[in-house]
Amino acid sequence: MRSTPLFVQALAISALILVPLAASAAQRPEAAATPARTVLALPVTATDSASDSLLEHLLSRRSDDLLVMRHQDGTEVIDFADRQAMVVLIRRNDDGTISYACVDSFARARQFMTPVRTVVSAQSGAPEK
Amino acid sequence: MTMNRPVLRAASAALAAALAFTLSSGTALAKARITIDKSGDGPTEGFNDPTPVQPVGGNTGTTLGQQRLISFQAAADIWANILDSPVEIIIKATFDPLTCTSTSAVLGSAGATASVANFPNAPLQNVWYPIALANKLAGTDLNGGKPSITAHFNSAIDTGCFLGSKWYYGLDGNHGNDTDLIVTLLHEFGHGLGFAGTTDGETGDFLAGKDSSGNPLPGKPSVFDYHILDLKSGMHWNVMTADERAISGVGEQLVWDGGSVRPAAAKLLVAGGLPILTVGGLGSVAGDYAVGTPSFGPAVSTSGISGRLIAAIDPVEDAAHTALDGCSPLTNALEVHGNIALIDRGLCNFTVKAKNAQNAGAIAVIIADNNADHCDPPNMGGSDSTITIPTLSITTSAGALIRAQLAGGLNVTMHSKSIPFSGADASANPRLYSPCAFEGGSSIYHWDVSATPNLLMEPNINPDLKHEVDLTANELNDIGWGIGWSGRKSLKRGHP
Repeated sequence: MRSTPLFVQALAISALILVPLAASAAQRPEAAATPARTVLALPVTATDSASDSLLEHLLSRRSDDLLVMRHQDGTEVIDFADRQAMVVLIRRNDDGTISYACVDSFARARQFMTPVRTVVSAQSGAPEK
Repeated sequence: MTMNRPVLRAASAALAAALAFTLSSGTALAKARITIDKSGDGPTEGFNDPTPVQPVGGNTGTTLGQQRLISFQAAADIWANILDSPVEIIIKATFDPLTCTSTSAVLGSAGATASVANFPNAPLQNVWYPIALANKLAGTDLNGGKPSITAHFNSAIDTGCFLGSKWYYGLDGNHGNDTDLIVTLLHEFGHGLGFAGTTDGETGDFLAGKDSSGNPLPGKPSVFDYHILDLKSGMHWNVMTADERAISGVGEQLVWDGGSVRPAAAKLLVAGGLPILTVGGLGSVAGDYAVGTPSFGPAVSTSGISGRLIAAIDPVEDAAHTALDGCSPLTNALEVHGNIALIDRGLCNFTVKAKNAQNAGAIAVIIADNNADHCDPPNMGGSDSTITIPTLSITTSAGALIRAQLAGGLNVTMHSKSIPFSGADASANPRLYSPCAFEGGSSIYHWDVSATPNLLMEPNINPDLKHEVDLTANELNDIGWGIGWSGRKSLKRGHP
């Protein structure tokens, strides 16, 4: 039996968190007086909340709690323990086009995977701004 | 039954070597050895998934697991043929079900497992290097044989959960509407090999860590920082304060300053045009303004189109509308005729606004954004083949500034400014992606999206990318990887 890596568990469970509830957000790219309101599926159980925190931790660039190993010759090694990773995401936009984004923060991942844009980029495939 | 990891790793390495031998991409000439460690996957899933499949695009695997591994090794071999290292680069990889819905999905992730400083032969002291590069420069394994890169990819994509689009495992790049795994891997492996710094791009903080007693350690720059040049201050990130780095990380003012990338970029990047709005006159409002572009109507030319800017006025349909939104036929058509119309964003389609201005005789349209939180002018969606005049957008603040000066008469020009190298400054230093609003992970550690042709290390995986590493190899060269070239000679403290 394989043991599921913590990272994988976190990402798998994160599906529950990242599923956008407002996929049918306004299809009026032109109106956009303000960005279409979307609702995130917030964690509702202790387990979800822990997983949310875990994914955020794994995608964080926090470093103050990472151990720096010092070798006798002066070499210093800092092990990221699966942090500092880049995650590639894919999304269908309101207008049916596809966007990709390579991110390293949970907040950005959640933002990208939730359709908040109502203005279509003229650059095909350009990341959201 | 659980196999112990050394056995699995050895089996994995042997299989990977055998698979690599079957590839036609010149594996035998590889200078570096990159091995896929698939020991994290179980015996019947991920890289070991026994589901029968037909060979595709030169990938001879007959099971899903085999095809995944062949693609992984093919991507690794592309890098191995470019890089040079006496130390084996181990990529610990898994293929597991991750988030995937009909609207969005995680494709995968990768990154360096560690950074190293002050190792034997380190070109710069007190500087973090990605472990694979540090091993190469030191000439020895500095981390006890541990993998240098970890990669986690989403096997659920193969179920078609995301709009029916699946992984394409072929080696020929003919991915159609599927996602080319090799391109995605080349990008992610690029991050793991060194196209990423360890400095927090949002806060500007250097990677620090703590000692074995739990005491915080001072932060150190990464070798990447030595090549991030802020065009506004003229400083590189390694000599800036954290606050200065945080500020410079937004505003599209960062380029990569490196002796290997620059000439390669000059050869690779084509000349381009940057649409812009120029307000004439001597007043405080005069100058160039960034613009957003539409998906409809003609583009502005280099010579551009000039005219007097007139506020378009239309009826106030109801309490929600204003006289400046251009959502109805204009009531000041006589004034707008032959001039450029200024319209506020909101409440109706961009195309409706442009068409109403056109019908009133305007020669062009400028649409002012209506959300002050947007630091970039919006690009404008919509389609209307009957629109024959150009349209550009400006930010809310620019719109307010310009509108306040209209009474005195303003002449503007909408034009395209020629730039010698798309996605680079005039010296061919490629721009790093640093939009006006910070994007975690996308900002700083990718090339800008304005480059033409599209580059592997842009934050989005463009469908036209080939199985090539373009400027990424030169970037790795600049941080010390060396392709018949010495990283030590290229770097001097404080300057690339």
